[in-house]
Amino acid sequence: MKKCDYCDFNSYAIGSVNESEKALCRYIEALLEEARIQSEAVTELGAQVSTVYLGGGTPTYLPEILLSSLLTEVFRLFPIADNAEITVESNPGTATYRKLRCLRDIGATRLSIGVQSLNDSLLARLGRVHSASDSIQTFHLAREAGFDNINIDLIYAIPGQTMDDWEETLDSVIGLRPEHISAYGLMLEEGTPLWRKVKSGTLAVCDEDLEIDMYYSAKEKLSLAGYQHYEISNFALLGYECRHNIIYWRLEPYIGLGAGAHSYVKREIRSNLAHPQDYLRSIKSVGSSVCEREVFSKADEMSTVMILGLRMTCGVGESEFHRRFGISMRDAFGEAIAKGVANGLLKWDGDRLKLTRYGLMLSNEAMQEFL
Amino acid sequence: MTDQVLDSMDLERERGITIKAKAVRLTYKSPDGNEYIFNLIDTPGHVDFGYEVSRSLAACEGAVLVVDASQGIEAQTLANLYLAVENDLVIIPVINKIDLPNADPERVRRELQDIVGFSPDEFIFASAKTGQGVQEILEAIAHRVPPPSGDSEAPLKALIFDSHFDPYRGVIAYTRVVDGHLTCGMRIKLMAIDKEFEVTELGVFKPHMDETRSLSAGEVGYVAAGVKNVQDMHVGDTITSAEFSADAPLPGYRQARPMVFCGLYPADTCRYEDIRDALTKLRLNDASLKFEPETSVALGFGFRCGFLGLLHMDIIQERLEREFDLNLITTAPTVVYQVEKTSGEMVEIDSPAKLPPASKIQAILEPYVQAVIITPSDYIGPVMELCQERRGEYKNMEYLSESRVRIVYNLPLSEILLDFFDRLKSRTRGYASLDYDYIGHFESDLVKLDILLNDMPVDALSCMIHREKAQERGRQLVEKLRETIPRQLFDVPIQAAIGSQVIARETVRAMRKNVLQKCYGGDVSRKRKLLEKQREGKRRMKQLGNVEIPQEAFMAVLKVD
Repeated sequence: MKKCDYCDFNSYAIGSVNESEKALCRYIEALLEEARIQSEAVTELGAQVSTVYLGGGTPTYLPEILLSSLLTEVFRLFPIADNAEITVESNPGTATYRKLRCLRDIGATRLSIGVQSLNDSLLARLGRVHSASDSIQTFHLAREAGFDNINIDLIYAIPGQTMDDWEETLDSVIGLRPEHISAYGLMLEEGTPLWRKVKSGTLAVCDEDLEIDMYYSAKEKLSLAGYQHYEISNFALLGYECRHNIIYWRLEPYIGLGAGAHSYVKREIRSNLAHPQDYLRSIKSVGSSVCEREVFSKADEMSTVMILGLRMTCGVGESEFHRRFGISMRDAFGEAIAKGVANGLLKWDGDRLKLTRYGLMLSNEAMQEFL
Repeated sequence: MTDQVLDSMDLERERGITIKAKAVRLTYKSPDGNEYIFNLIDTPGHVDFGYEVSRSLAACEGAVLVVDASQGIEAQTLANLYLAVENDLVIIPVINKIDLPNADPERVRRELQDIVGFSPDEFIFASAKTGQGVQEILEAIAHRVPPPSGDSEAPLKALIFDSHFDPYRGVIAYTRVVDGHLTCGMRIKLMAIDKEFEVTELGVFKPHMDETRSLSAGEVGYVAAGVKNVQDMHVGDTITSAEFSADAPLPGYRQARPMVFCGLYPADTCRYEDIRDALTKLRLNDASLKFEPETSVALGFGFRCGFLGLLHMDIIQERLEREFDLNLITTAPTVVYQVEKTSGEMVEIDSPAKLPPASKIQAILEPYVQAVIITPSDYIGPVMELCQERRGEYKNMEYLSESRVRIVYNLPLSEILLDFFDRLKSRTRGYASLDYDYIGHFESDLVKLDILLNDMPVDALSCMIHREKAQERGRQLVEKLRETIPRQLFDVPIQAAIGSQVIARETVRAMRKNVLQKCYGGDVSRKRKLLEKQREGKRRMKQLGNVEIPQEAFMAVLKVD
């Protein structure tokens, strides 16, 4: 197990196998302790949990026993809705058939696989520890294990990647017919090994024009294959949009559990301590690990609803906005909307304000104006 | 006691330079048994502040010439040395920093001997760091510099050689009493403006201000007389007694003359008045700073400011930003041109925007300087090449020693403003030094180079340039601007033009991508902050039509390769 060369996730190495098992156990214990405390708040509200997302990289790295006890316990603690969407993230090579089967049996409804590319040399460049065939195998295993809602994560604009490389990967992935595909342009995050290679001149970044061409090529190919482009980087067969992520983009309440997790409840963003050891200690001593709280004013919430909502191709509806805030979107953001429309970044589609096709890749330009 | 006690401005300490002359009085007990009172003035060395030196020298009997034992004679050393000689001062040559490993005091002594004809035993080798030679310097001042020759009984004549503004006491004039005496409460007259005031406070610098009852012939100190306007007590004027007036003032010296002008604009247009207040305050202590309101189509309301030179400009800008917390947009510096109109009228222009229409211009004259460059002889070639490139006219060259030469060129001042000093340093590995002196305005074939962004002329980017260099410079400028101006949502053409003729063109290609690839639950506040930062960056830019221009673009004109 190793961190990928482009990854800037909140992650930490743990020592030997023996130690790591103990550390993982302690961590899961703390996580469940936090879940227990948080579940009381949810129950008090009388709310139901409509989606669960077990993510943050590679949870399938956990031993089967820990994984299953974690999910089982979450299901026991929270009032989960009947048709809830339960997603687990995984990476090729970490998920055995047994593990997948176990997840499915406990109640996971959706599997997200970090495939990234189906080109072995590009995978090596990204510092991924699996091959293209590992990915395809994991996909088939997941199907066999009963997953009928699978997402495949892809990365484009990898240094050295050609348009042909990208389209080949796309075609193969389309051939697998996953229900959902996420496609992200590679972000060079400061401090990552890949960033250092580019900075030192060992690798050349992907040309911006090529990156944009790759983006629109994915958009064309995937929509021809029946995938709706429903968010800047996300595509899905009809009815298979990720309900969990849509909650974020609509800025509806969510609770994040674990080190570095974020929650949004009652107009407040809460962040947990990032380091697992700090997290563990504070959960044990005070039952909470919240280290930062940012309270949104109504204005903050309105602008965030616009910024996040515009990420979806369905945009933000004037009537839903009015219902939520008691003010018209045009009154609240007349100038920002007018400027975005004049620049060709935004458009009205009936009651809904949306990014234009041209505005997708320039969405920050339009979104800034709502702040 | 802190180090650099007389360089009290933060800027002086940071840069290790002296900007403002400082006076100090000290008492010295000589081994000969006598007690001597020294009035010392520490002066700047940089060419921009030559006037500070000239007026300080006018208030003195002698000068200690301090030369670095490793650097040797620099061009400014010579300029200041000649000033001292002109003022008939006794000169005590001191070779300092002899403790440095690469010090070569003997070489420096030979050079100085050759130039001024000092005798070998006049030199003092010293190290301010170890204290070596300090006693000898004090002895030399006591015995070589003549005592003041003034007459305490004659009518008062006191030279104002500097001043500063104190919010409680009004203008404080730094003065050298030549004849007669000043006492507290006496009525004085400022001869140049013929105005009378009453002395409210007198004192000497130790180096802090130390009040005394009187100052008499030969003494250096300060006078406060409730003068509210710093222009009233102008440097170079003579103070006399209102009752027993002297017949004639002391000879003044050349007035500081601003040579370099630039536009200063608030980045935030609503802070125009703050800039005015800040400039007014700085001028209280710096009579050489000139400014008047100016309006630019591109930048709005601001000021056209005149400075002694680039260092002076740099310092004023930095003080405005630091001490007054102002965010400034500075346009490229320009010299003062003289334009002879077809009507025969002569006008001075300190901004390209003020140039009359081409059809009304008979001739344009630009200021020239005589530039003195001292360099190791290894670099004669590169130095002459640089001067030649800069339209220089060779005057002469002499060897100061086997390995050091003094090269003299006449150069247009505008060419010196354009990165000349940095070039000189880089072509001589930092060894060359430069000093220059204005010699007059001469006719040149100059044109105004305009810059158009998105087909709109940007007045603040116009510059004057020699016709033969216009093409190359236009190309460099548009290229530099293309690098400086961020991509916008549309293509932005950048053109350089003389009149209606476009001589260079570049395009800032439209932005195609500015997107957050991923934005999920944990990213919300981070991504909001990122968007806020992007937006803040835009707010700091200037909006010209629908093009957003970063502030650096206006200075890009200065830094081209």
